[in-house]
Amino acid sequence: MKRTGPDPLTKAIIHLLCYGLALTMLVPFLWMLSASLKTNQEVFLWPPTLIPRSWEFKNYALAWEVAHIGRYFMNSLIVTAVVTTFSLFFNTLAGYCFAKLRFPGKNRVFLGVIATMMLPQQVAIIFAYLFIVRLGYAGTYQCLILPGLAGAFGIFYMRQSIQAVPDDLIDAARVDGLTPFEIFLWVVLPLIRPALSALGILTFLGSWNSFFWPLIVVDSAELKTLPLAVADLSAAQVVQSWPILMAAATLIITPSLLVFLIFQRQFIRGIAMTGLKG
Amino acid sequence: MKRATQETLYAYGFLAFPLIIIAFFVLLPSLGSILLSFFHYDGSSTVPPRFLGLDNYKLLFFSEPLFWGTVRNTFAFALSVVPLTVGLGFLFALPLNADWFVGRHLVRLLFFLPSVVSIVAIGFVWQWIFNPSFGLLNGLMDALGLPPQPWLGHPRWAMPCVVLIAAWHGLGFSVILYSAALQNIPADLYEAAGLDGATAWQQAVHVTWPLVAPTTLFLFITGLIAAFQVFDLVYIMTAGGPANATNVLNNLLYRKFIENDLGVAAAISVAIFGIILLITLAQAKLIRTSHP
Repeated sequence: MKRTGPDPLTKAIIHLLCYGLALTMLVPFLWMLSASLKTNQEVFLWPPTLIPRSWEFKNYALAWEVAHIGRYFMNSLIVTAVVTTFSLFFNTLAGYCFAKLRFPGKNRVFLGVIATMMLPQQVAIIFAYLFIVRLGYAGTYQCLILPGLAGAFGIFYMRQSIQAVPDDLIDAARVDGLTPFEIFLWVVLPLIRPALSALGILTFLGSWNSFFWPLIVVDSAELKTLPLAVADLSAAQVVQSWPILMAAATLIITPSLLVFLIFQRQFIRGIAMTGLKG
Repeated sequence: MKRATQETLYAYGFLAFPLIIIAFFVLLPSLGSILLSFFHYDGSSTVPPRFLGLDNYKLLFFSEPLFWGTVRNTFAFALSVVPLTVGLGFLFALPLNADWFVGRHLVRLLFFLPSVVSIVAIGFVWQWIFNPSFGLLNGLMDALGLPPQPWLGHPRWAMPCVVLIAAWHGLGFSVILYSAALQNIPADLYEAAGLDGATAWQQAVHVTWPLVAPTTLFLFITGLIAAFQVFDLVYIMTAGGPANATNVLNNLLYRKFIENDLGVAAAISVAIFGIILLITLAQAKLIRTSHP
């Protein structure tokens, strides 16, 4: 946009406002990190210190061992890895069917899938919980993994992306004798890498940060995911130490921040795409 | 002919697993919950559900003391968070997409930071900042010579605090969506407006705002749908307190769920669904009137 913009004073004020607000987006996390490295005494000091006087890395070891954060971290990692990998595959494959294959009932099935996006999570959850219990999956990884393996949003998102792949390419591959699955693997997938990474990151974050469903289905301490564990710690005050709680909270945000910072470009483009299509 | 059969077989083969997952974990359970809202059921395998007709709804509407309070709180939350997030998102997206703004990529990145972080961690760290006895905020108030406040501990302040954090959390998303919309506006529209002597603010109001209307609508609808389902942030920050000041519909649903009053929990979920359905229908109507 080529615009002159407002006068210098207004520009300065706007810069100040934006940077001020941006700082509030950063400070809570820096503070969390800093508190996680402090002693039980220093954490209550006023005025607060941003750089801890002594670096208490043992808070992390304590959180990992005493508060069993290690166990919950591994639970979250296993569930998120399986859900992200498989749902990306299944949603992309389903999106490919709706975008490029011709079969009877296609539009009706697609509309049915899209319609489920309107259903709030809570409506499904109560009965889905009963279903999981009857299946005998309560207290196993399956109950955290199975419902995440496919979803209407992912299918819709991939269908929109795959529709942009030129039909000529697919027809040419078909003339060469490739099956629909080979076309998916060798023609479509390489062309939709940006959409794949965007949906992959969204799925990763959604699964890693997921809270309501695990809260409902997880009934044993061994199966807790990291968000549940941190919520428990903060509510019940099992550990009477703020630095250890902050260490646990830092562990919960680190993977999502890393994924975001590494893939920010793809991620922001992916987010923007969801809005433009809507 | 042969190709068509082959494609049909492949398509239903590929779709079978995703469709089964969606059917068994979204579609059928939703229908099941709606049915369940007409029954009394405690989740046990020995005592079967007992049909009650509309009794669960009657109980909610007329004798559950917390219900209307949670409805009011949910509306108050949604109707303040969404305009705040969308309005501020637009205002901040303007400079963050102007070429005179120094470091706009960095600032946009920072704005988006909270959106990727677990809401549990967000609620947790803000709970600490708001802490009346040793929180950062009261320390700041003290430094400015102002009296300390109970923040989340006071029925009057708790909801505004939660709303503020929810808006803070969602701001990055609307800034990113508005940024994408702003980049699609042709520059010559501004040149024409600039020649007519319009100030930057007038351009924003009369040129930009009407042109990003589809994004505004999208943000309002998706924002409202998400806000009416709010749970995580409230659960972590206040657990519905103090004195039910931040109790929202989903908190009540969760409580009925852990009390094994599954029929009533289902009825609350249907109420949330009803609200969301109305929003979706209103959206369809709005889109139809704007694209005749």
